[in-house]
Amino acid sequence: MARLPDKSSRFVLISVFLFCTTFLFLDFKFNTFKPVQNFYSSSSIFIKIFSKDYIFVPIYSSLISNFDAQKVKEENRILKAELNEQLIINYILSNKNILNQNTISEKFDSENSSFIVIPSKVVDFDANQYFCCDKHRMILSSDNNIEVGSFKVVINKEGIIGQTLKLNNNFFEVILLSDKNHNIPIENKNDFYCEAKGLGLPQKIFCDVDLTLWEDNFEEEQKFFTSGLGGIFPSGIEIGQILEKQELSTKELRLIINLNANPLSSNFFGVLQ
Amino acid sequence: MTLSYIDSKINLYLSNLSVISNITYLFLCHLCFKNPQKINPYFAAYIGFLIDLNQSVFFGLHATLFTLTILVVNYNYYRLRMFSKLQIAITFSLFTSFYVGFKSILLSTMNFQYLIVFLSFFLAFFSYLLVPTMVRFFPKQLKI
Repeated sequence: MARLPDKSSRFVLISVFLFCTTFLFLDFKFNTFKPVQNFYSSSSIFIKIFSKDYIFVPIYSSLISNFDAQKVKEENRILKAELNEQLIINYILSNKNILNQNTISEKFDSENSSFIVIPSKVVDFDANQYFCCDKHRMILSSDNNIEVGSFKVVINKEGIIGQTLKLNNNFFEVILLSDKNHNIPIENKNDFYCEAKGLGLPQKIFCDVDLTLWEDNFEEEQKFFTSGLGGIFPSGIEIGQILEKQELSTKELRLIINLNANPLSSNFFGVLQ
Repeated sequence: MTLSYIDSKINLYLSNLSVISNITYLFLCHLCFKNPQKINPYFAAYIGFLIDLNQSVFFGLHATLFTLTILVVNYNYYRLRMFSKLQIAITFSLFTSFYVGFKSILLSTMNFQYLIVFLSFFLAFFSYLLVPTMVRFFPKQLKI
């Protein structure tokens, strides 16, 4: 038996380790602590926003007023607000253009149908996790505090980036297409259908092809579109192109698809309602 | 928490180089080795759970790895005390490689790379040489 340093207890060391391992197992296997993490994330974001809007900004502006620059600051604030508004308007216009490029424009004619784009802004995004790990999530808030439910399509000016998962009334989480746990039904022009999964790498999804069912007529840069199966994503929207073909076995092929939409390209997004 | 924040900021720049910075973990190893009475498993679990919540990873991941480290360091405390500084640096770098590997398996299962584990060993080795110097900048009120 190894001798421990003074005041160290073998029982405490092992029991705390086992306790933590149990927590890890429960969360890994059953997502037991997901609500706790959601609560923590939404609370920390709320505190961040609240302290910024109601504590730091008022204190900062009151200090600035001492230097007789209040008027300039106010003008700056108004210009910033106008700029934000303009960005959102541009963003909605660019989304309409994307939608018109695709076949869904007939279904979602913005003037004649009930199709609505809710402008949203990024509240929290862990870029480190996006580059290093499989979990690609983003937390957004709608611009006019419109309540956004789960399983709504989120787009930016380059295309579809993911779908929503409701957190609370103010915020919602977006699971990006490249997230390991995300699936999206896609098709190509040769009527090949598959359920593409997130690869866990930025802007990459993959699709496994059973060569006993489908012919290998895939080429690099071949375009893929949403198939509309599953009822969440509208059909016919270009999602990306084949980047690489990997032979898993003689009977199985993996297509790595590079997505068109980069979630880092803008802080403004739209939720298709 | 501050160290974890610094780590995440450094990792943003290192992500293209297949290296992961682990200053938080090396600090924990160093502090546990220097003062095993104060850096106990409760402290490690507490810090680990906080980091798990803050980074939105599996709850208990950091806590398990931190408490495991405390356990291993405590069990081999007198053995480690006989090591030279270079040997200690190599030992903690090996611990860090295991830490990086275990985390990568759980957090980026589909993109696990041995290269990251291998290169993180070297980064950990050089980082650990700086850790004792950095500890001196800690406020004395912390008493660690």
